[in-house]
Amino acid sequence: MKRLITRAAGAIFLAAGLGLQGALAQDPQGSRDLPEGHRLYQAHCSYCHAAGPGRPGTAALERRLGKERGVLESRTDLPAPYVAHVVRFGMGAMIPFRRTEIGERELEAISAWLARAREAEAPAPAVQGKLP
Amino acid sequence: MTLPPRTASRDFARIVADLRAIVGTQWVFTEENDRQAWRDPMFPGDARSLDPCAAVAPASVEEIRAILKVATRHGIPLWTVSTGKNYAYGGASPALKGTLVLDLKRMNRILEVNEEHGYALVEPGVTYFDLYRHVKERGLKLWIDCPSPGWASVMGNALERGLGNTPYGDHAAMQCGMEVVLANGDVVRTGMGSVQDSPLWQLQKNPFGPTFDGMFMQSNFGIVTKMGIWLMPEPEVFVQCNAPLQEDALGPIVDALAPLRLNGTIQNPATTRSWVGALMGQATRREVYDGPGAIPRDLVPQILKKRNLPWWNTGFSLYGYEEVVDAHLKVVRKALAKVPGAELLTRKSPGNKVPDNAGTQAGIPGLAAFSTLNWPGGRGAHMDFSPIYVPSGKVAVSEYHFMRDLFERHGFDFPAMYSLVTPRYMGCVTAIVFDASDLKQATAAANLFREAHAHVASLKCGLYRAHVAFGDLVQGNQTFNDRALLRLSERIKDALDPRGILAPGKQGIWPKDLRSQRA
Repeated sequence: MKRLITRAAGAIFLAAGLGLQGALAQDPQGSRDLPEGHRLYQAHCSYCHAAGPGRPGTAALERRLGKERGVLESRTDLPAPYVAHVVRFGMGAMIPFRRTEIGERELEAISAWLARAREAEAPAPAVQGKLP
Repeated sequence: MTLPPRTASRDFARIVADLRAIVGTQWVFTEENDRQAWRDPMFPGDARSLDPCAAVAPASVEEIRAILKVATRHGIPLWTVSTGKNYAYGGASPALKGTLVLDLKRMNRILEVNEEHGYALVEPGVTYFDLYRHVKERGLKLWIDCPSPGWASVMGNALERGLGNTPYGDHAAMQCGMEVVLANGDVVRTGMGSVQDSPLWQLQKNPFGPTFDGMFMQSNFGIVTKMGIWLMPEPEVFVQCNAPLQEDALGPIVDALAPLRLNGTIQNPATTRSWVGALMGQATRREVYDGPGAIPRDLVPQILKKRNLPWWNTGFSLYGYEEVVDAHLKVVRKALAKVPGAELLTRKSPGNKVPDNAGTQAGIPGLAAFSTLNWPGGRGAHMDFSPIYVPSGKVAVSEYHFMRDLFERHGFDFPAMYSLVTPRYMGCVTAIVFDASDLKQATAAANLFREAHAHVASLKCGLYRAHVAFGDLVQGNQTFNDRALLRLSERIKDALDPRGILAPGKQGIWPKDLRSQRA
């Protein structure tokens, strides 16, 4: 029972976009129950890309794409290789992330997490070779 | 191929092979696709002018020692980074083109967090986010102190003498004990770490005999692999204070707060920021003013009115037992009554339940400050100009007017801030915000920095920290007795690193054979 509540609580806090401190303050164990890509996204991306104020990435995307498409996790059009490319090479004010910070497998998991909605709608053909 | 002096291209393949043998092929990065990630994305000019030749990422002290042997054999210099997030000051960029980056991110263990005595012992790759999560997950009654960007390294920031916003904001002062690998491979533990397995390593800074910790900060004398940092016990209450102020209140507010900072009534940096920083954090340039250069002064009143921004906003906090904090708050209110138009706004919360948006004054790491990088558009970037002054309202006002004129003349808005960082100095960590993809802007940023530095030098003041591209320039300000301080640094450099393999040029300190590289 406690585990179920923890999971549900985790989902609500993500939706509310309280980000790292909000999620930790209210659900310290919650992040461990998440799928790996989701957990890694929370650790490496949410401080800039969660919903709510004080998130520079979300602010930039809202301005460029409109308020409905500002929160990365809510996007339904992100291909995994594109996500990986942006992470490795940066975009606008977003800096590149090195393999020492986010390893290849971790990046695959994060990219798959952000691509999940697009994959569900229209699964991509198998891609040969490694992600950048 | 970007190679450093002393390294012939025919040797590079050998070096790479040697490094791969130590750390594994996957942890040596030579291809452009990888190398570009260590370039400074916020470089005030062409970042390729300080391109690293490659990067290598060890996982242990033993691997570092083996890499040092390779570096010594071939003479190839190493530029050590903890997480390489020293943005606004160079990121992971070396001071000498072609240096090999030694990236210690993989060494990221939190070795100990001691609640009873208030400290942590960390490896280089531990970020403020990591340490905060560690403390919160365990419900420890300790606060961390973090700078604006939470992704920075706890160790790396302290070794550059970076600053935060709680009473433990002077990170260098809160450092206690370190483990250092010297250029010859010797492993030293400073302070009480010199006593084998002493429980005092993070409790008492001093060994019997001289201390050396400060030598490894803002320098290139060794590779730090473990560092102790003190952590503040969670206070009973936390009262966040703000005072929106009109334009002419800068002098009075600094003079009202300086004595309270000195006598410990206010224990954390008390910072007065102008509307420019607030505006940059909430808007883009294009939304506010689409012309060239800085915002014309005659447009400012309507901008402030439209966005409901005061000219200045002063912020600081009070920490501790409720009875004590209430008493201190009375003192603070009395002092602020002397400042025209000042209205103190306060928000009190229990120390174990601070608001999510309390920010760095409550030791909560985040990246909110980087909203400023959305201001210029393009590849939004900033380079920090960070002078230190005597705490004085008169100085703050005079410098505000001078720097505002100077910034605007170079086409930049001036995000003024005057912070009583410690009880005895006033810092101004201001950002030159520019589009790094626009070489003209990036070059203008560099020119502004040089002129601003010349002015600060003329006041016999200095900078607390500076971008890696300006190490020689800023070191050059330290002219007492024909640069005696640099001479001392160079003698130590020659003694500890005769082969000159550790971060040549960092803070303007060069090994003997490369002193001609000095700008």
